[in-house]
Amino acid sequence: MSACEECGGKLVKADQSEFLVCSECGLLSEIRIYSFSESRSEAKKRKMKKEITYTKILKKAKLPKKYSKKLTDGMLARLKLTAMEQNNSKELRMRIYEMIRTQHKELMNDEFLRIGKAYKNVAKVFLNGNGAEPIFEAIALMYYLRKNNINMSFDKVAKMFNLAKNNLFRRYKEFEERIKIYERQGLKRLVVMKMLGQARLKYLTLKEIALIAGVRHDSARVVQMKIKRMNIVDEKGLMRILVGP
Amino acid sequence: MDTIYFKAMLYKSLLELGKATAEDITAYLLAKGIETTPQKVSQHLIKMPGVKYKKLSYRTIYFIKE
Repeated sequence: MSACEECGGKLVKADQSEFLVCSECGLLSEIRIYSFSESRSEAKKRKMKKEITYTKILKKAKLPKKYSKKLTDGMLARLKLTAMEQNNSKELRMRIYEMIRTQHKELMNDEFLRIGKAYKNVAKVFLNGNGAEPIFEAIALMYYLRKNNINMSFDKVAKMFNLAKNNLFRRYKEFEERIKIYERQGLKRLVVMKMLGQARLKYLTLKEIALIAGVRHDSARVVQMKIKRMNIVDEKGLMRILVGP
Repeated sequence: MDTIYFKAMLYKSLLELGKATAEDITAYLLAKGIETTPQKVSQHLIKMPGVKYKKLSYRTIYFIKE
């Protein structure tokens, strides 16, 4: 390695640079270092190969699509830590299934209470407003859990809200019988009915209607926007969408 | 709900729609505030005079007013 042109000091390689720098005066030398061992792109590719990605984990586990959709970000982050150590894809798959099954246990009690409060209006509307607030919240939570395939007993929910189990069960069945009729209709019909001012649906928000139809809030909003874009104002036009082909 | 009122509403909806499936009539009645199921609708309409029906598939029944 040659010396500095100015002071004659020792030249050293600067960090992340192709140039040499004088260790005495800091002058940037014109001498460049060319590495012929591997190009930058090759190094990047090598780094990418080593890196564990979520796609790689899912590929390794040979997980069906319907299950991969159920994985949350938290689950993936946890899988990333241990996934590559496991060589058996079946074991990895079983672990993922277990994670999906037990995901509701991660939810704290506070979270459950929050869900109950958020959807209590659904229970209130379908029970004609007869009952106390905690029972509406408990029924709304129970309905939410059933809709999201999360198993939780009536006993547990009743204890959470300080209610009698039998009372909760009886009121839930009453609620279920009424809401079942609306579940059979698609999201589009439910949204049109809301716009028509249907006796029950007019009191519900789009988020609550999405829960009844079993879809995400975003898709409900898209459907509503599509209907609104048709510029139908009169009742007859909306009825045509409701009953038409 | 009163059966006579229900039947009257059923016939009225069919008159307005002309021809419709049991599902359509159910949706129409629901929009009007009458909670019913397609099964109940077909059960009543099949017996009703002045109503023709045609089975399109094992679960879809088409109702036409005469």
